[in-house]
Amino acid sequence: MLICKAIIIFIAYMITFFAYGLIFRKVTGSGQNNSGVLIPAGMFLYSLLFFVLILAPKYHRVPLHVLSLVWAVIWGGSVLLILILLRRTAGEVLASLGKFLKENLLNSLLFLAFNVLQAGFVELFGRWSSSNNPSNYVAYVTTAVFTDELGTTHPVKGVLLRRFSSKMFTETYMDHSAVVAKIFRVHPLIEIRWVMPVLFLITGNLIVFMAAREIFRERSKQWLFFAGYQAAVACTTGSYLYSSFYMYFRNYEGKTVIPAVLLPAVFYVFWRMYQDPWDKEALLFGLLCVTGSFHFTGTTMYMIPVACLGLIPAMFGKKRAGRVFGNMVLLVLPCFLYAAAYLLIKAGIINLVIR
Amino acid sequence: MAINANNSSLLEFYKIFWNIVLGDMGPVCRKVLYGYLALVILILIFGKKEARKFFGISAAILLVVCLNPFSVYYISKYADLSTRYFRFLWLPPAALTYGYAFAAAVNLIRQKRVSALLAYAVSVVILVYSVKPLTSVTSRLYTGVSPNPGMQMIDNVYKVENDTLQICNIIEKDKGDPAVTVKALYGYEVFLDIRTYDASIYSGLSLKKQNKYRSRKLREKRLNKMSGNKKYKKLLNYLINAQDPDREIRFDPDKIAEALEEKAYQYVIVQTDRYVMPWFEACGTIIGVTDHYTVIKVGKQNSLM
Repeated sequence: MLICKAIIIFIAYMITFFAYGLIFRKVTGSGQNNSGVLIPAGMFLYSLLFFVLILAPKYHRVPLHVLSLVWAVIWGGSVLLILILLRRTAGEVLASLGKFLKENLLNSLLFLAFNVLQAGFVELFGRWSSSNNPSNYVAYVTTAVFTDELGTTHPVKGVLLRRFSSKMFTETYMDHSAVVAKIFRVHPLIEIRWVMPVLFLITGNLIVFMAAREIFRERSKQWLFFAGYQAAVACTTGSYLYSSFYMYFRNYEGKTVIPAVLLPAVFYVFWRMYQDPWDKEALLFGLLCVTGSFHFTGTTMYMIPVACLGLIPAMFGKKRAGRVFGNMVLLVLPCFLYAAAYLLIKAGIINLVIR
Repeated sequence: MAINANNSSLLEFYKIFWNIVLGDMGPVCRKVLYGYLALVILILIFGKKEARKFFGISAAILLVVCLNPFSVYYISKYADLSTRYFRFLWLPPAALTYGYAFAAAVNLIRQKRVSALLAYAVSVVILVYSVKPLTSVTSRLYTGVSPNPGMQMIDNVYKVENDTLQICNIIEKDKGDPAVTVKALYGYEVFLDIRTYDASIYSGLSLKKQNKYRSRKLREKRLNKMSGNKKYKKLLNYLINAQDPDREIRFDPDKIAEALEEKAYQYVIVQTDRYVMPWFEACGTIIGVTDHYTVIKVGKQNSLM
C-alpha cells in the first residue's frame, strides 16, 4: 500500500514537472527537439514557486495542515490549468517525443533500462549513510509533520527552538516534503526515501543525455558518453568525499541536486551557449536551474560561481564572448543575492526569532 | 568528515588535506582520479578546439582549484565551505570528461558500423566494471548494531532498522496516544534513525555530545565523579553511549534512577547485551524487547507485557 502511494506521488511529480516544463517551453518558444530539458525545467520552476510562496507562511507559523490544504489547491489547480491552456504545446511535445523515441529506439530502451536498474539499486539497497545527517534533515520533516509546524522544533533534540535555523530556513525542500506527506497522508520517509532519490537520478540522467546529444551526432557515441559518465560516477562512490556518494546513498538530502542535476545542467547550458551565444532557451534553463535549486540547498550559492569560474576560459577567443560572459554574470547573480540574504540572516539583521 | 581550516595552520592543513583526500579514496577511486589527470592532458594535446576548452582547460581549472589544498585552505577558512567545496565540484567535470573521452576515442575509428558496435560494446564493459566499486560501498552503510557484509537490502518499507520500528511500536503501545510526546534515553546507534521515523520520541541530547562518549570506555571513577557533581545529563549520555568496560565495575543503579528522574526521562532504550543493561533494568520495568534492544519504562509501574 505504501509503495503504491510512493508510485502515485512519483507520477504526480512527473505530471507536475511536465506541466511546468510546458510553461518553460511556451516562454522560450523553442521549436527544437529538446524535450529532455522539459522535466528538469519543470522541476526547478515548480520548486521555485514553492520556495517563493512558503517562506512567509513558514515564518508566521501557519499550521502545516492549513499549508498543505492551500498547497494542494495551488498545486492541483495550477497543473490542471496549465494542461488545459497549453494542451496544444503538450500535444506538440508528446508528438516530438514519440518521434524521438521512434528514431532513437535502441538508445531510449537502454536509457530506460539503465534508469530502472539504477532506481532499483537505490530503492532496495539505499540504506542510511553512516553520518549524522539523516537525523538532521529527514527528522526535520518527520518533526514538522508531527508538530504541525515547519522548523520550530529541533529535529535532533526534539526541543522547541527560539529561532529558526539560519541554515535550514531557506532550504524549503524539507518543508515541501512535509507538505506532500500531509497532502497524501503518508509517512514522510516514503516521499523522502522512495520518490525523491529516483526523481533526482532521472532528471540528472536526462540532462547528461541531452548534453551527450549536443556533443555527439552519432547515437552510439551519445550512449557511450552517457555510459562513461555513469561509470565514472559509480566508480567514485567509494569515497565519502565525492558527490557520487550523494547521488547513490545520501540522496535523502536536497544537496543531491547539485551533483546529480545542477552541475551537469550548468555544463550543458554553457556548451549550448558556446555554440550559440544567443540561445535564449539555454540561458533561461540555466537561470531556472540556479534559482530553483535554492529550494533544495543553499550550497548552490558557492557552487555556481566556482563552476562558472572554471568555464570562463572556455569562452576565450570565441566570437561574441562578451555576450556569453554577460549570460554567465546573469547566472551568478541569483547566487550573490541569495548569499547576501544568507549573510543578513547570519548577522541577525534578518531576524528569524520564532514569535 | 570535515577539514577545518580554522583550527590549523596552512602546513598542517596541507597534510590533513592529502591524508583525507587520498586516504579516503579506494584503489578504484584513485585510478579514476589519475585517469582523469591523464585524460585532461591528452585532451589538451590531441583534442578538438571545443573539447580542449570544455574538457581540458576548464576541467583543469576546477581540478586545480578543487584539489589544491592551498586554495581550499583559504576558501574553507573564509567561506566556511569545508569539504563541500571540492566534494561537489570535482566529480561532475571528471565524469563528463570520461564520457567525452570514451566517445571521442571510439570516434577515431572511421568505419561507422564498427565504431557504433564498438561504442555499445565499450559502454557495456565500463558499466559492468563500475558495478563492483558501487556495490562494495554498501558495506559502509548503516545497518544499526548488526554487522554489515554489504549488499544488505532494506529492512522495511520505511528504510529504517527493524529495531527502530519495533522500539517505536513498543513505546506507542505503552503511551497509548500517538500524539503524546515522550522523552527517552537512547544511544547513538538508534539516534541515527529513531526521530526520522517517530518524532514523538525525543532525547534532548545533541548528536555532538552523543558522539563524544562513543569512543570512551565506562570507568567507575568517571561515573562516580559525574554522579557526585550531579552532572546528570552527562552521566546518562556517558552510560548509554560509552563502550563496555574491560573489567568489572560497580555503580549504584539508584544514582541512575535519580538522574533519570531529575532529567524527566520516561523510557530507556538500551542494547540488550550491554554491560549497563542490568543497571537500567533496576531503574524501571521492561516493557518490550526487540532484536537487539530492550525498552525500559522508567519507574516501577505495572508492566504491559
